Amino acid sequence: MLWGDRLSLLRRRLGIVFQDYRLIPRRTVAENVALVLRTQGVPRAEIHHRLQSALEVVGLQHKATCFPEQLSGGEQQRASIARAIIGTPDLLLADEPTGNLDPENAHQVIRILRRLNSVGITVMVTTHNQALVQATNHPVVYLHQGCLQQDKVG
Amino acid sequence: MGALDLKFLKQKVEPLLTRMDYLLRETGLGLRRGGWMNWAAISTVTVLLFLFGLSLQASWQVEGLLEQVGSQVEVSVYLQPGIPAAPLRLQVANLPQVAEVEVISKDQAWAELLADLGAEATMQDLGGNPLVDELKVKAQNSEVVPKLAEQLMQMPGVGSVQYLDEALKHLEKLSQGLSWIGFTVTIVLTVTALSVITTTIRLIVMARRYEIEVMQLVGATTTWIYLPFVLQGVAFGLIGGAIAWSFIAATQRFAAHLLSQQPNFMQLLANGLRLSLLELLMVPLILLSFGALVGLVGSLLAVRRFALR
Repeated sequence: MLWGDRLSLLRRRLGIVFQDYRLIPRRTVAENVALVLRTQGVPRAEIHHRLQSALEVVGLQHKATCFPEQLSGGEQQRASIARAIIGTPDLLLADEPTGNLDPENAHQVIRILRRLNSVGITVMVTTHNQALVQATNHPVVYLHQGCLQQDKVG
Repeated sequence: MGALDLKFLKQKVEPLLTRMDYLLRETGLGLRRGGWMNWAAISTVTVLLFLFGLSLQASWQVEGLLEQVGSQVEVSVYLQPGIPAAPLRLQVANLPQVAEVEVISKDQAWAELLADLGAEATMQDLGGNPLVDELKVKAQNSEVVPKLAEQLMQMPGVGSVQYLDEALKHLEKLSQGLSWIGFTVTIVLTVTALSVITTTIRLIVMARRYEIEVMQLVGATTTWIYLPFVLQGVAFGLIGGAIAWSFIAATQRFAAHLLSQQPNFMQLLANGLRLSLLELLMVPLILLSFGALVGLVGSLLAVRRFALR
């Protein structure tokens, strides 16, 4: 079992997108996204540079100075994706990323995840949304009574 | 070569600056967010350091006074009326513990007294000089003074003998009492300040629990998360120290102003109480470092429980 700083170091190599976004209420979108790099001691100039491209990927450049409460659910989830990818992780874990979103926003989030996958990031998504599962051409694994069952190979 | 050195230096220094930048910003953020809770901590530290600083200064002043008085190992020998001092002088000077003898004739003393008080006609009405001849005897050290005084008392023609023993004993007792009170008050208030700082920092940590959890989830190490809180505690101590010092400086000014309006002999006493430049510089240094230490220990106690989880 990993503990303490070794766990922290592992988490830096992962990007995690949460169902409930987990944005810090009293910090702006830019601050929330940059927090990852700031806590790793990355110089400010580099943070600024990477922040711009991360916000660009999710299309939130114009909302950088907004607080999370000023954003819609879809925008909050996109901010959370920006935070997950700013550290250029090898693996992106998305835990029900569309769970709290309407179909249109859900679709947009999935589109962003696809694009990230196409540039070489391994993306792992969990979902209850059957329509989403049926629409994908990626490998799908079901969790059935605690056992993994392979269903579809991409 | 020079360029390489510079690059190497840059590689060493830059992460340090980035780290400082992060820590200072997060600490500042914490202080801004803390609001009135900050004041609970800062004001307690201020009261602690103010009283501590005052008692420290007072003990230095009394010590200085003791030293000044203690170095005067002089015994005043007043002769019986009509006995001249000059013949006794040699006899006293031959005593083994005596370093120096000075004769003050009654006429001399009378002239000085008149000059001190401002010669008025009423003084002349006393019907002549009521004073007696006096010998000022300097002992070789302060320990032999009581014995010497006894010896002098038994010499023929001696009326009375005075020395500073009693006053010294009182002063020493006063100084001891003062330092005990100061010590007790400091201990009690230190414990109070520690618990207030610990509680304040703990409340602030609790209020930002969610934020801390998110930071942990994105890979921040324990040190990075909690060091700003510890620095916030140190900041409480430093701010409290600075305020306490300004209060002490103001108190001193006020006291000096009051004394300057007093008669001359009070000013003379005030001169004896004056602190040296070194001591004046030591006060803010001691206050700031004591404050920082209390803040550090208080905040470490506060985050220890969270950080070790």
